[in-house]
Amino acid sequence: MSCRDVRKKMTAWGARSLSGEEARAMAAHLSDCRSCRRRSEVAWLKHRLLEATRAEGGDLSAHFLMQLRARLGATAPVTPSLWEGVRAFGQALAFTAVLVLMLIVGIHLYIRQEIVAENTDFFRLVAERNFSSSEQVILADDRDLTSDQVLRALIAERGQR
Amino acid sequence: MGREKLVRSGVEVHDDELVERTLAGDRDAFDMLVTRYSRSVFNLAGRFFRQPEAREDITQETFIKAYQSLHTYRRGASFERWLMRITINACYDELRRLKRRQEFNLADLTDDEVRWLEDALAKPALEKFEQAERNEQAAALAEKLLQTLSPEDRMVLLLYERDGLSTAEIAEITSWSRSKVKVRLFRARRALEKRIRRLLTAVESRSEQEKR
Repeated sequence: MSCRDVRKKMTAWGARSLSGEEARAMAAHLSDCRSCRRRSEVAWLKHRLLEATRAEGGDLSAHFLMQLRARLGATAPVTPSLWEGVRAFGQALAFTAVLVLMLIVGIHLYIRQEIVAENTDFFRLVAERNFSSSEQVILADDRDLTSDQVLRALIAERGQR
Repeated sequence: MGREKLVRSGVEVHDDELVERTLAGDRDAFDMLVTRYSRSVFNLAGRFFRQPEAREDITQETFIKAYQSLHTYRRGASFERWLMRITINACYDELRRLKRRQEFNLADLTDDEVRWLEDALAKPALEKFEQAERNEQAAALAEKLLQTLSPEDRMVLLLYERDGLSTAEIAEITSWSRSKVKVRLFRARRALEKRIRRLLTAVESRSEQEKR
């Protein structure tokens, strides 16, 4: 029996539910293997301790029903009326609506804040930048702009330098 | 049908009918439900609490909760199963209420409990302990060890390891998902084994010191 086989049967060993042959093979392995022996001790103790937690017999006291009646008092069981049902539904609906509203407002504020921050950064950078003449040609948003025009602008810019 | 009907004065009374009558203000109908199921509730509480007083308190709490929320019971469903869920919740609440130990050392054990552990280690044949099963030292030691676990872990461990319920059955009675039960079981087993291993090491080193 290998350590692996032994460990698979550890719970059954702990519960002393192995067959005679298996138990003998297990015992032979445990006498030689210190690590498995410790595991078997833990398994056995775990089984014993958990078994010890079982409640032993016992029964309800003779006064149980009387005490229960006294605790319940003269009250009738809760029977919700139609009005109470409607009111509970309304409350749940209002609560959900408030939650959804808060969520929408939160998301809206968050997105708005993000865009404003991004826009601010973008426009500030643009404002601080000195565009070259060729860049100005490209950014002019001329729909008829051709590659020749861009090339000419670049050559002219180079000539200026 | 079994427990769902009760023969009384030659007439079978179904759980649902008793529930209806209770809701209409008939206290005797509720007494019949209590009589019918109090033993089952008491036994179920016994899976988590050994003392009869604690089990009786849980039983009372269960029936009070059941009485107060009787209108939520869906007619046609199993009343016993509905009641068992309330019982499990009551047990869970009680376990949560109990103070949880953070750590557990050899110093926390009484002399009797240490002796029990030493005997358990010293006698490899262990038959002696089979005969002396369910002794008080073992129960007290087990209680101390279990107190270090969370209520969920404790419930799952007892139901699976000791009572032999499957993870599906535990999931059903606790209303937890099967994956939650499996995760809890894995953690609980590992935690308990770790504590037992630590205790054994402490007992062994103490015995060696005493020999010297």
